[in-house]
Amino acid sequence: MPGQTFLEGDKISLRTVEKEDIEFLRDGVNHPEVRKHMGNTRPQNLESEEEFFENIVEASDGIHLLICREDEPMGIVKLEEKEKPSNIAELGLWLHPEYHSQGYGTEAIELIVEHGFRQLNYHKLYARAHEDNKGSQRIWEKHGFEKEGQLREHVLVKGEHRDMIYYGLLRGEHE
Amino acid sequence: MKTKFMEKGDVTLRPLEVSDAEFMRDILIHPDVRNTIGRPPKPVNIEAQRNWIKEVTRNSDEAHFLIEHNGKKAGNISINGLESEYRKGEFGVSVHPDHQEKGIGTIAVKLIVDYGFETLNRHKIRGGYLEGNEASKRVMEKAGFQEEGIERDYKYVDGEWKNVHWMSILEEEYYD
Repeated sequence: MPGQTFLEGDKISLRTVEKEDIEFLRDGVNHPEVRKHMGNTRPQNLESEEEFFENIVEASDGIHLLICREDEPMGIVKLEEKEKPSNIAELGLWLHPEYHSQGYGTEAIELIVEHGFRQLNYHKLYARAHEDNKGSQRIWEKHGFEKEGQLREHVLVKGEHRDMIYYGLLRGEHE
Repeated sequence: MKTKFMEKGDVTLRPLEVSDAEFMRDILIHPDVRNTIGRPPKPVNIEAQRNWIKEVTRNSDEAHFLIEHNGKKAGNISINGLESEYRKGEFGVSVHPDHQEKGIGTIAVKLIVDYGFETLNRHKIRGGYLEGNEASKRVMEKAGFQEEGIERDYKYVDGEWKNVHWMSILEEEYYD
């Protein structure tokens, strides 16, 4: 059973990440289609996923939520507090490829952006996307994120150096 | 849900897990394997393998995978030297004798070579085979490796010293 629902949407719910989700997380972050966009270059076994769970999910100030369709985990969305005084946070998400292109990511972002501004009072949210990750770029643009910068040939994807694009959304721009 | 890191046809590489300890023990001490790998033919038990897996999978200098064939455990493959200077890497592979001669090793080596160059940005990947191990040599040749040198008296097998033949592939050869 997945964890308790924290934010509820139409098609999805965002739930607490629990220890029994570790296997799902392991399967997600190792998947070739997921890791190539995350800059995840090494295999992650259950032990390393448990470490991630203990150090990051349990212990950090950031938020990690499991994206679920009913009881089924589909991916993860995070809001990571970056610089305390400036009050900004980085958004990130991945979905297992089985659940791509069905609007789940869009809805997850909607929920977390709303929560980030209206409940957590962040001043700015930002996100990164690889140049060739069009799906991710579309999501940020759809939610009104502005393209702020492009770091040239900044990451290695499938043997080629690609640009890294930064997107940002300010509190005043979110209605 | 299936765990996969890389996949080609019916061969999958997935992260090596502590729960693979028993399978790893069975490969390493198998009479047909223990005389062909770098490790000396000493017995190892499950607990020792569990500790070994915990240690190596958290070492950022190495990446370890279990090879699956049609969902069954078939072997293991790793690449190490990932933190070394000059972007070099060295791989090692074993396929359990029950699963040999099905081309599994060849696909696994091709996958680790793809991974080494395309994801880990290695300049050079090296592998070795013990003199007389023609199967191992062929696998590396098929993956584009060429012979680069002989290291003398590398391992002691059946009452005599054996040389190891080192083979390697460079990034320009891979992308050519």
